[in-house]
Amino acid sequence: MYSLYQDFGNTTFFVGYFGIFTDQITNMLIDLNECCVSKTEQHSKIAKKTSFLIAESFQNIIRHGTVKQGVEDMDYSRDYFEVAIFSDRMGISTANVIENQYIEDLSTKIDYINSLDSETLREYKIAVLEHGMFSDKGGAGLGLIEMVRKSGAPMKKTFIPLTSEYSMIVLCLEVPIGKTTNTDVLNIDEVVNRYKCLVEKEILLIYKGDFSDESNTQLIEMMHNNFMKGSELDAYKIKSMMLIIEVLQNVTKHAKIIDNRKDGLLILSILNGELFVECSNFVEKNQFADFRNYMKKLKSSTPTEIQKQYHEKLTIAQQLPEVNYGLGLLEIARVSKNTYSYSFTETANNEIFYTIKLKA
Amino acid sequence: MEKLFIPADIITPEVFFDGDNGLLRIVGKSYPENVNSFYIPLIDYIEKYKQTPASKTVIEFDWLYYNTATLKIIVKMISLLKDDVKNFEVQWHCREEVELMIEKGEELKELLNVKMKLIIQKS
Repeated sequence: MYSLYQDFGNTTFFVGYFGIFTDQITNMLIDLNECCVSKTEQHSKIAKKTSFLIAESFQNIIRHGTVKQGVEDMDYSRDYFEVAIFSDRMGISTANVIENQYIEDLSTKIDYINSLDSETLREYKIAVLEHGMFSDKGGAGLGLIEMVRKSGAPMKKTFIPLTSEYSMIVLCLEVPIGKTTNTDVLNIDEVVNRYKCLVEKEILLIYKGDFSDESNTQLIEMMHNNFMKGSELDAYKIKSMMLIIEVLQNVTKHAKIIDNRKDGLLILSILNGELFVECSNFVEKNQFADFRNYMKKLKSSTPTEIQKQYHEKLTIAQQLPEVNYGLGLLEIARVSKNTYSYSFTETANNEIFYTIKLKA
Repeated sequence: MEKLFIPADIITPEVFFDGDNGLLRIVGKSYPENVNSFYIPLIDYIEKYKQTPASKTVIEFDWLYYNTATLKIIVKMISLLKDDVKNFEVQWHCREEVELMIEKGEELKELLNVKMKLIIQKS
């Protein structure tokens, strides 16, 4: 897990998402981005811009999601969305299936938009608004024009062939932050490689960033919406929700604060139809020995012993509800039937990186 | 006694407390990390209610899901009422297919030694 964390080492915020694509999820991603991004003045200035770009990119997937006959079981046919924030730029990338017959037209359009300077692009936008050129899916290329205008950098694109009828289209936008003038840094091949790697690991969601109350809420609500069946939450996913909440809140409560952040990594993946939760954070060195001993003891406890400890905590809660140490971990141990695993990794800069993994 | 109604929010449940009729109902999901800001007014209401309770008191829980911080508040609310209010009952609603929530109700009933009716909704 730590090596994966290091792969995202130069990002302060990363979300990679393969779940359902709806307007509600769009709003949650925007809120997640805003609560993490607007922590510095420099970043808060671009929060509005990036919210727009996230919405447009996400809407593109919702609007242009193709009926995937014959490719739905192929490895690289899963719709994907990612946001990555680096110190000097932000990258927003999407991947979705496209019919091959539209590739040439779309490529030409993107190349043309990329070739225009900001003033000509503005004039082109007005011309498109006046003269139409609407596609049968309600788009007039306006979304693409606005995305390039707002990002201030060319849109990168590449295609992954799937069949004679379909391909994946990968689009990548970058938004410079602060005084950066170099606007052609993000490498779309890296996005494609990451997409393939995450598909192979059967990931549903990966999040690297600050684990605050606000970010937890957006992550939990994203999962809630993914687990909906019709208008209700799938009954069998209630256990998963309770475990995800405990795991996330455990990080927020106990993670070491480094540079004003409780940095960590969350991965939700679905392997053979089963949901796995993996979560990591740094822990304080002076609490490490006690914490490791506690985890060791908990892991070696029998279900009856765990039950007993759990009931003792709840009995105390009748008088002192503020005493909570260990109740969340006991709940994780109980509900997961003690099938979780955990590890501690000492990093090169002497930090302790804690990971818990369980089937939810 | 004034009624208390709090609509559900993203991380907190809907609350309807009707002291005059002895009905205290909480419905939905609850996962605030800091439970105090939401639940202290509810605890205060219960403390006040205990002084002049109705002839029968029912606290109804219809949870979608909750975190352990909320669980401690559930325990606290039941504990406040069970010994000091006559004719007290907990009604624990759950869906037939949500075994975990049924188990949670049964566990609380046993742990707190309280009169509890499990109301299981068939799908």
